[in-house]
Amino acid sequence: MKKNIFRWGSRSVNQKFGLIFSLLLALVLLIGITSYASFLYISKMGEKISQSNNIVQLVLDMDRGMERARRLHSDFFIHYQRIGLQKAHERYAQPSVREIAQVVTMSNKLKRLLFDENNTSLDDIERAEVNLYLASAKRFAETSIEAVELISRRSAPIRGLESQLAGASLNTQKLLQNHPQLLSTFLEAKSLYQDYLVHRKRHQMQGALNLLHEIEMTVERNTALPSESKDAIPKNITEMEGLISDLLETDLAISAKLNDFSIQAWAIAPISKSLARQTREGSIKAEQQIKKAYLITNYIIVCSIVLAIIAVLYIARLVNTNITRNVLALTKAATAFSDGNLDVRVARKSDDELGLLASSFNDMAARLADLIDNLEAKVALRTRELSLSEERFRKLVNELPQIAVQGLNENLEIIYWNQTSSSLFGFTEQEAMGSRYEELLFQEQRRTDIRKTLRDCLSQGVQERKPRTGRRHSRQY
Amino acid sequence: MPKRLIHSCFTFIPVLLAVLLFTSCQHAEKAEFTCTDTLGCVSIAPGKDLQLGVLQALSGGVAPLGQAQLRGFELALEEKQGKILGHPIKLQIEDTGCTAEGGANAALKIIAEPQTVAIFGTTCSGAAATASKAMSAAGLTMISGNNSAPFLTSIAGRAAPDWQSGYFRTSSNEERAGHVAAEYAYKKLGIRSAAVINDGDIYTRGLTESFKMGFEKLGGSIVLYTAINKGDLEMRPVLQAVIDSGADLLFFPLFQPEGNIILKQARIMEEFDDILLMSDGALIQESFLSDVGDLAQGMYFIGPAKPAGSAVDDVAERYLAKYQEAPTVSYYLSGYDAAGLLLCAIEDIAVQEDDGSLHIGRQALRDRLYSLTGFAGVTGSLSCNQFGDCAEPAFNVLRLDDPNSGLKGLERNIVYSSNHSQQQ
Repeated sequence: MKKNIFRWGSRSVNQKFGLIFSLLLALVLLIGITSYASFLYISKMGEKISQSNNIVQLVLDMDRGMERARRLHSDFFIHYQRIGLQKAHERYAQPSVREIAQVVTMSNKLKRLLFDENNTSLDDIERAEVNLYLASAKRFAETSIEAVELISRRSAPIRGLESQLAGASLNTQKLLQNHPQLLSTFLEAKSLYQDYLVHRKRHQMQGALNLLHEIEMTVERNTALPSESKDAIPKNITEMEGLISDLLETDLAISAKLNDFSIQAWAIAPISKSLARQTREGSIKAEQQIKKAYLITNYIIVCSIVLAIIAVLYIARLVNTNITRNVLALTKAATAFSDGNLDVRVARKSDDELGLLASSFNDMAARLADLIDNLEAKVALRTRELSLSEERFRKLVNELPQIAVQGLNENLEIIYWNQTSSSLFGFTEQEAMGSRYEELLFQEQRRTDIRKTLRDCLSQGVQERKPRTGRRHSRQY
Repeated sequence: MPKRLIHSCFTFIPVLLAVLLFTSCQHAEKAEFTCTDTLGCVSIAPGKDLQLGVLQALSGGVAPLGQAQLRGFELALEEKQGKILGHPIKLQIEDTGCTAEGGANAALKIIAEPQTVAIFGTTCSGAAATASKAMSAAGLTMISGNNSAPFLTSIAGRAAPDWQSGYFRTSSNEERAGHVAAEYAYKKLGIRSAAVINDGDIYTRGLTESFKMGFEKLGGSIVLYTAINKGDLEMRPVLQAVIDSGADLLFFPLFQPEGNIILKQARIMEEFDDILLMSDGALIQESFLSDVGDLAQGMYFIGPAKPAGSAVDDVAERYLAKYQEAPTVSYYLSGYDAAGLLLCAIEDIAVQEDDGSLHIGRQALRDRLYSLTGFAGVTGSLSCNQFGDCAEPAFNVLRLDDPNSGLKGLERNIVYSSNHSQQQ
């Protein structure tokens, strides 16, 4: 498989090292890229969590603001009749408006956060719900201001409808003081009016209107009444009818506003909860994604490290198998060869430079062995040839008739003695062989000089000596 | 190997870059739709739903009217197999409760969805007044098959106080209805003094106003002009006021259940034996007739002329087949036409791309409806004017002579019509 994929055996050492380092580099890059990608992903998720938290916080703040505004608004409706419109306005309506203003500001901020800043945490949230939620603050602000205006119109001191009606009622009652029957009817109408103020049932006010109409008709029909009363009473009653009509309309509008608040609260409450829940879920999801990313990154890094260790071991084994072992085998073979084992050879295990070197070594060893084997044979041949030559030389020298030739070893003992020497000096070869040269041929007093001369000759080799006489050069050994 | 590897990389990367560049160029070359509509566009991806809002009164006594509108819309949608240009239509249905505040809040919910193309509604004019304001500000288009208050479109040829751009209706502007009722009362019944009761809603106020105007113009006298509140149960004081006023006729264009209560309590009071009762189209309903029974005998109603013809019969048959019951009001027909008109206009102006995606210009949709003329609706030929009125108003005065004949009997018993009025 290795061969199939990489053609490992046929690669050069350089390529092998290149591949190995590429693999290592790839592993380092894998770990680096994984870490960097994880970092980016986690940063993104972190940003998403931060955005989600901001949104949740704003939604909660808006909710709290709306809740406070609604409560203050309700308090205004509840208490204005008891503590007076002015006080209720200062204590409840104005703070409510301030709360709403803050909520509107927050809603604008939330809008920017959600739509203008490329928010990623909005992905999981229903856009329609967000729009509705954002619009709700503005709508609540508008409705509540309109409601406060209506209440003011109804209950403001002096100029309010109730005050005006109370004034007109008082005037009418004064006018009817001298007409018991009419006053009784009027008080009955007033009672119905009071009932209306408590129960807000229109038919009660209609009953009061009917009675006022009855008084009006009675006054119109009664010719005994003084002309002042005949003019003043209907005028006051008409004024009261007009004020009652306005009051009924205003109450209807206030009722519609209260109904509006209920509808708004009913519509918005689940959305704010849903929005906060969705954003929190988004945040939790992002946290889970971060955890997952951490886990995956850890897995990848651990796997990469394990892979790297396996790869390094594998690479070490490859290097050992394909390079180190080959080098050691070559070294061992060379050592053995240098020690004289000319038969040593190295197995070629690859096609790389080391394989080539092994082949070259084997060729070289073969050639050297061949050379060494031939050299011995030649030496033997030459020795034999030399021996024959020496024999021929000895025979020739021994038979020389006029020249005495002696051979000496390093101890100056005679190792060669030819026939002429026997003739000349009178010693046979047997007598001369092994004798010391100066002792055999020279007298006692000259032996030291001769020995010295001979030793110098032997140690220094052939010396050229100036002839004592006019004789030609001669060599002594 | 590294050399080869590097070589391969150097070959692969440029190829990859070239492919990326090519593909990005391919994208760049594709002409993207640019919205030039002044109110913006709604873009719908291939296969995605086309979203429409539905605002109707689906709870309370008015629910049958709202239900009829919704059914009319569903029948029109059925003709299109529930799709426009291959996109399924998704409805966001909200209940207005037939109140102004309900209309405003329900509209807010629909407007909050940015993909909403248009709104079908409302049932009640009061809800329409607030809903159309919010809708118009958001750049949407709204069409109703039931609103008839003059305040929503035009009064005396001028924009009415509650007119909003982008608001249309296929139901009649009842500006004339009050006049026709007054004419009949004054000229045919000889009534000279009348009392009127509304419930503060712009629809009922619109009718009482126009009745008063018409009646007084003819020389009659409105001796009582008063109101009740929605939800009131005790009507005797107001009925006593009617008696005390000396009115010969009581005109009370109210919705259910207040209209029912008025009638029931009036019938208990002997004085009402001599006072004629007249109401409006909001009570021309099977549910009203079955609730009040014989008490409604002799009562008059002013309402839009009921369309007739084979197209109407066809839709009625489909209604019966689909809902397994006969229509309880005839307003489903104007609802059907409103839906048809809207769907047709959307089809006309939608820009469809090769991949099926749609782009709908908001102003373009309004413009298309404003310019629409001669649309063949089941209620007649529809042409929208500059104020959004698309139907030619025609009114009939009906009298219930035989309570057992039900709604059909009432609708057949036309005692006066706006055509007579015009001829005269």
